[in-house]
Amino acid sequence: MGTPIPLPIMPGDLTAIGPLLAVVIAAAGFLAVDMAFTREELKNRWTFIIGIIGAALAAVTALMLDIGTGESRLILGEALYADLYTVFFDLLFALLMGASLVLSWTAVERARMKPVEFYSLAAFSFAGMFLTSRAADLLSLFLAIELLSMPLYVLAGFATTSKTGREAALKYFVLGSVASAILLFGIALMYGGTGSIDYVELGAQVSSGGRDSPLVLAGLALILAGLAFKVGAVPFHMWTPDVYEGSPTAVTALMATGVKAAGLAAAIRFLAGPMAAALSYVSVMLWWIVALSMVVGNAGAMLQSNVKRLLAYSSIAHAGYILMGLLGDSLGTAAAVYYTAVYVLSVAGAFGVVQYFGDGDRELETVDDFNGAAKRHPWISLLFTIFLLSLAGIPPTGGFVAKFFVFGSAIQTGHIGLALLGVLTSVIGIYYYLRLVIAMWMKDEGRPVLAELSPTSWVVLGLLAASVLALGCMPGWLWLIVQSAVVSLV
Amino acid sequence: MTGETLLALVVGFPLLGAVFNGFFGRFHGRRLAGYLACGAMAMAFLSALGAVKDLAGLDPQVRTIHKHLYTWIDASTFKVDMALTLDPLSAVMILVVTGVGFLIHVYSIGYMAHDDGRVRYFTYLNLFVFFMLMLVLGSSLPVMFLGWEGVGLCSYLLIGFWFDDIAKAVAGKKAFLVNRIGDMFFVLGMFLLFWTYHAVGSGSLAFADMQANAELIQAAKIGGVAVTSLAAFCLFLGATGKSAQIPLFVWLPDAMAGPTPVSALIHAATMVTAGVYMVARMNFLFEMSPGVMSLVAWVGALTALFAATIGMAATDIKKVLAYSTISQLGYMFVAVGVGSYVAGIFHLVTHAFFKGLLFLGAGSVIHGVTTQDIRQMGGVRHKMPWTFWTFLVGTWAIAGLPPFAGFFSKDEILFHAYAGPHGSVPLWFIGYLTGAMTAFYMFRLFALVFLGKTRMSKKEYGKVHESPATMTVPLAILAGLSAIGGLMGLPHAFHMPHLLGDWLAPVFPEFHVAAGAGTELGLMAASVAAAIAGSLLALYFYFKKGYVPVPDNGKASLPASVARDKFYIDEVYDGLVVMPMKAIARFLSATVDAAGVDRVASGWLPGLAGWISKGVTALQNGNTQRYAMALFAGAVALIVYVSLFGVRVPLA
Repeated sequence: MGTPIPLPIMPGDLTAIGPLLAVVIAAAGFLAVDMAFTREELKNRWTFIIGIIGAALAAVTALMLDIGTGESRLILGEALYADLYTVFFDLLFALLMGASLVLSWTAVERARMKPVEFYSLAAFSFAGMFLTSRAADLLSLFLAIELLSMPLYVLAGFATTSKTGREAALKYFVLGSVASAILLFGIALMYGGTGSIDYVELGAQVSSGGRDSPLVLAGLALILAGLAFKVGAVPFHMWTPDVYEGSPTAVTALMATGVKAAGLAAAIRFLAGPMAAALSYVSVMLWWIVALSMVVGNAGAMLQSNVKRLLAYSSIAHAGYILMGLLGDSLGTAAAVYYTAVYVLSVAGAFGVVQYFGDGDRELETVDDFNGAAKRHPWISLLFTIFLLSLAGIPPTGGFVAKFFVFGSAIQTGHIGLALLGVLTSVIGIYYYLRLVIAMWMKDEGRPVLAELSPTSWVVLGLLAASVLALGCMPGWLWLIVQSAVVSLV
Repeated sequence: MTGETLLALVVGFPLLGAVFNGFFGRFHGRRLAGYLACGAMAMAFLSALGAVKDLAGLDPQVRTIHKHLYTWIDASTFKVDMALTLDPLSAVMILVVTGVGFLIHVYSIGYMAHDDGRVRYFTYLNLFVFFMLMLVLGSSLPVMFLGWEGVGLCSYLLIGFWFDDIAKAVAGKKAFLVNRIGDMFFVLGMFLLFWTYHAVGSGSLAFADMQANAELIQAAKIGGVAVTSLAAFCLFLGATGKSAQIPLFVWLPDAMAGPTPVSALIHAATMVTAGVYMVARMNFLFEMSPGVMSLVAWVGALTALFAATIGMAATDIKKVLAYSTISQLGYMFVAVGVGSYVAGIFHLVTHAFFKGLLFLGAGSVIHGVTTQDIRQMGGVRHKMPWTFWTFLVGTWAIAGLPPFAGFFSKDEILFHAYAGPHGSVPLWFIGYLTGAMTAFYMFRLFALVFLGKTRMSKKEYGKVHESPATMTVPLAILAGLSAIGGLMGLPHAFHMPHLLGDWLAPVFPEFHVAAGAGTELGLMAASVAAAIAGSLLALYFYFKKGYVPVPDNGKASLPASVARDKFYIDEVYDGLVVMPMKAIARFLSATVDAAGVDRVASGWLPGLAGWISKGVTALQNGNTQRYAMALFAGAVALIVYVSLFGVRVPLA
């Protein structure tokens, strides 16, 4: 027997991946529940309990991480990071998981999916998301992206009853595979150019001349393309409207919030971290991706009558706004992270509300379906309005502050034209978000039906709305946290 | 409770009243709204008394109570605290505002008893008091400005209270717009001060800080003009708006469209005196610019004379009082302009008593008679004894006849205008002449309304009735105050203490009068003689002889008709300012906006966006191969870009 290879696990490493473990254990718990019980009722109850415990555990373990002086720590054989940045996204994903459990339940059942199956798949996807923010080498990054995507390919086609659902799932899978291939190819090129996949090593090489290597830059370009696919930025966005529309709403909500945030968490970490020195070489590309995303996303949403499609296009635009932060300095990076948080909270709330509207099996599809909602359901309409106003970027919501930060950093680093374009396109954004608000509050011929909301749903929606407002009225505290979080990236 | 807490309560109660009536008024009903508003005012008045008592307990040298509520603005070097400061000057003001304000609130219960909009009315009224208290208690210029704007807003809301009458809504608008002109200069003055103080290292606009650092900015100049003068000038122009002085007085007569208690509270006793208060508050600034000081005095004197002339010809009971208010405010500006801030504030207080009384009396008359035209009144005395006697006290006081309040305060102003260091004989003479005219037009009003035979039809006269106790009791209290209010500022010549002057002494710079008691007594005798002459003349014409002013379209002598038509000032402003403005506005709205901006903003741009939108959606045909193609094309584009330019063109 040869000498045993020591496991690269250091004390404290397990705490550092606590959230990840919590979610994976929850996922395993779901599977166990599915096998252990036969009665649907019990299955559902235990699914909910385990899911909530998992999400709570993820949040608690995230908070237990000792951040120390704020510097990044490498764990598990330098495969993952542990720092304030990961804690920040851990909390965001834990919150999303809890919100998904509470808010999507009705929609899951409406789509004839079994909650236990849905949430076990979702939990694996969440595990991937928890990985994206902490990936410390390109392989971890790739694994994270694949782990979060695979369950979603299944989930997208989960509602076996609808033809568009199956089409969407297949489309998502095919295009996702292509994107993965591009990403992997980029990683290969990067490895070829530097001989390393390790972020620290990559960063060192890139800043000391490596960025002049065509191989490295080509690799960077392709990795950027792969991540842009997940984030839904132009020109890698074309799957979003079809897939968002075709998938069950609960899955769409997951894509619009979790997947997007995870893609951004990975992209921001990679681009503002090891690739920071090379970013100026590709900033023209980034500029075009941002500009096109804002224009295409907003213009595409403008004439949509389907609410899910509208939100899909608008999510493209938001990807543009968020990536704009990466063109700036460290404040811009912080702005991007801040925007991501606000966007995720607002969209989680918006989809949370949308999922409750509907009649029996049918969901509300078009903007006109929401006519008269405020008259019949004033409180939920008010909440929906808050989320929409935040997405539109109207004070006193967080969306306004987030846009303010992003545009501000763009202007400070000389991208005045881009900031101007951002402002102009967000005017289009106001137009289509307000169409929904107008439908709800100013038209009264419709009679939209609302599914019954449990007290927990009200609490979660209320908390989301309150946090969206709080981030608009008192942005200071989170802004400071975000700023110190991005410091650890470099 | 400590003085600080009480201070917060003083502003807190009216705000609470306004919020409560504003948000829940439609649930708890109209009757309760009035009581709530009065209760809030009573509590505010008691709190004010308590706070002032605490203040009086302090040593005169350190007589201030400061209450920091929260930090309002904190932008690096510019910081404004939402803070209240009670010092002898603001103490006088809050007692007047809450005290007279309370009486007028009580009176309003009776006056507005039949109005459906009572909840709204009392909401606005409480809100006004809140802002007025912020104005006088604010410890810095920005907080004062907050109150300044707030009272302007409430004034607008209350002038146009009966907004379904277009003329009244227009009057509200006029008041608001004219005030905006003044407000703009207030802001300019504030900016100038901030800019100048900031340049010398003190970004604070708190009154205490500005006063302490006043010497630092004394030498600052813009284009050869001292900044202190420029700022004082701007602030004074702001004051001419709020306090209805030349050239911005035109809104006040129209403001009489509001309910009469509003005229009493806002357009006589409190808000319109804000300008005087502001000049007194900023005395350290005005003292540094003697030129502006004499401008203040002269504008005040000319306004006093000018408004009195119109007052002699006016035929609407409230308009007479409105012009009289403008005229009396002119006196106050004469006082502060010659540096006699105590006399200015003294007259402010007594004026609040007697003009509040007169307006409420007028309201009582209107309530009973249902017309405002004094040519159609007469003989009301017998029907409304309470109103009659109290109105007589008010008339007596404003006419400057001893021993009522107006006599003391007005004579102090005239004496200081004559013998003070900034005073002069012409200044005094204008004031003196105005005094005689005041006595004349006030007794003219009094005689035409109350004395002689009635000019109403028998049926109308039969309906005239005395007002309820909620209205007459405040009248009686104000009459008492108008009668004895002068005791707080007895002349030096009497060798009695000037209570108000001693109380205010720590706030103002010392004021020396060169002339002795002989001069003072002489001037006093002269003005009493003038007042008596004016009163008797009026009584002779309008009571003994029974003259009645001619109808509006009737023939009158040229001077009389010019005065009756208010010297055509409104028409002149209309031609010089309003018409050109309207022409510019029409051009902007019809040509620039409709044909230019609108065509681009609501024609071309949405068209462009829609065109892009159609293009984007057309690309999105659901074909997976096409989507994959786009993906590849994007990736290839990135690669091509990087390999062609990436290495050679580092950006940023």
